[in-house]
Amino acid sequence: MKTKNFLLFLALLCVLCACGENKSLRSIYVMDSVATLQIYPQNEELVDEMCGKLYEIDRELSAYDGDIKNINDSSGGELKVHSGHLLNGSLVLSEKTGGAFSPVLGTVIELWGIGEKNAVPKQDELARAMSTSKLENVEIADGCVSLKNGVRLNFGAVAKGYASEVLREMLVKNGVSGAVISLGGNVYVHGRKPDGSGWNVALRDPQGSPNDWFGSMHLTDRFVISSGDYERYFEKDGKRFHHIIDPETGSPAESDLTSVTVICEDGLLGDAYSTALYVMGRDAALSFWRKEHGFELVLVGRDGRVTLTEGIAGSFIPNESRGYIYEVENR
Amino acid sequence: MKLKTGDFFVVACVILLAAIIWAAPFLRNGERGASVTVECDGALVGTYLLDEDTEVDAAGCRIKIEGGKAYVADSDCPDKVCIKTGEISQRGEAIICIPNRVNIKISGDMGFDAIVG
Repeated sequence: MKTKNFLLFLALLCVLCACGENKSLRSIYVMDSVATLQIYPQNEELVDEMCGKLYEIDRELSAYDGDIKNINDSSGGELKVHSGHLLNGSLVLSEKTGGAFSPVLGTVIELWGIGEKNAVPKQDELARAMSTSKLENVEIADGCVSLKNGVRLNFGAVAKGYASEVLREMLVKNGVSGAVISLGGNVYVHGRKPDGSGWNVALRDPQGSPNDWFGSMHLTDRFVISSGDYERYFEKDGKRFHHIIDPETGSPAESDLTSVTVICEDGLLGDAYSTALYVMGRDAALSFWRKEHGFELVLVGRDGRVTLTEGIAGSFIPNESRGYIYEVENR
Repeated sequence: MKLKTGDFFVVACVILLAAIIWAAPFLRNGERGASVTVECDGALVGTYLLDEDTEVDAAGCRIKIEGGKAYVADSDCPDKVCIKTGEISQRGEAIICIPNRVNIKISGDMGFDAIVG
């Protein structure tokens, strides 16, 4: 190629590179939330496949119109790939958190109907629902689950974390160099941006609107999963009834925290822990963090204190304008 | 063949054009959001200027744009999260009504790759 043509070719290549962002970006409505998938370099086929996987997981795991509803209504049934994995994983995590996370609160959750009927249940109804909501009423054998005494499964607290774990495996298998997956605010950041840098992830301020944030972190290859009383709730007689049910009382957890964020390398674990640690409250959550390994925490208290565990404190940048007091917890 | 001054000029112009296209999104950041996009179930309903007061109906949401701000004035959804989100005016800010599958977003981004929570 002649020098002149080669130079022109290079210049046109520059234009083409600048025009194309070279990424795939898509948002879909699934699992009762918005899922946003952002992948570098562009790979529409993989995004199609990942969206299909999310719909498939939703069909299997929804307690409202999915296979889990059928299993609950029939007091048992065959476990498919996702429901089998998730039930087994949830039982392990429920035990690990001392019951602060439970996958068998279906009857209680349906009774409260937070976000739908928004009514405080009667005490006797709640007591009846609680009496059935026990792990010992669930039996798994030969790929089937059997539900006794009216116990009902509900994976609402962990389904998105599990789904993001499945998507992470697809990203790894396909050798994707960088991606950001957000399933209703549960985020997984994978690899690096095209310029080699990590991802900038902000944490929503539980006291503000969905657009207010109290801090941000630079991360890569991590799940960042939050639970809080600001996501889904109703108010009656000046009291907020939110969607995180305390398995011990059957009512919305009365926590001294307003939000718990778990940063870890396992989506299912992160989702279960964020719920369980919210239920536990600050002191018990930090004791749990000291005892267990493989995750870091950002806790927002009702007292206006934000507690960062030592492993994440170095990469956390506070948004001072939100008025919180920030402190670091060491092991 | 030897390059002439004119050839250098053409190549320089093309490279300059590429630089402008590449840098445009970065230059736009830092500005106040100028337009608001309304989508319903992923399909574009319309893009509106933030400084021109108007009302937009999308699915069950009534969206008002007034005084340089956008907000959901009324919605038939059960949770009313869209109404509770309040007003948006800064680049990248958004209101999402999940039951109605309506997404209202100010142009630009907030400077983050994702918001958790």
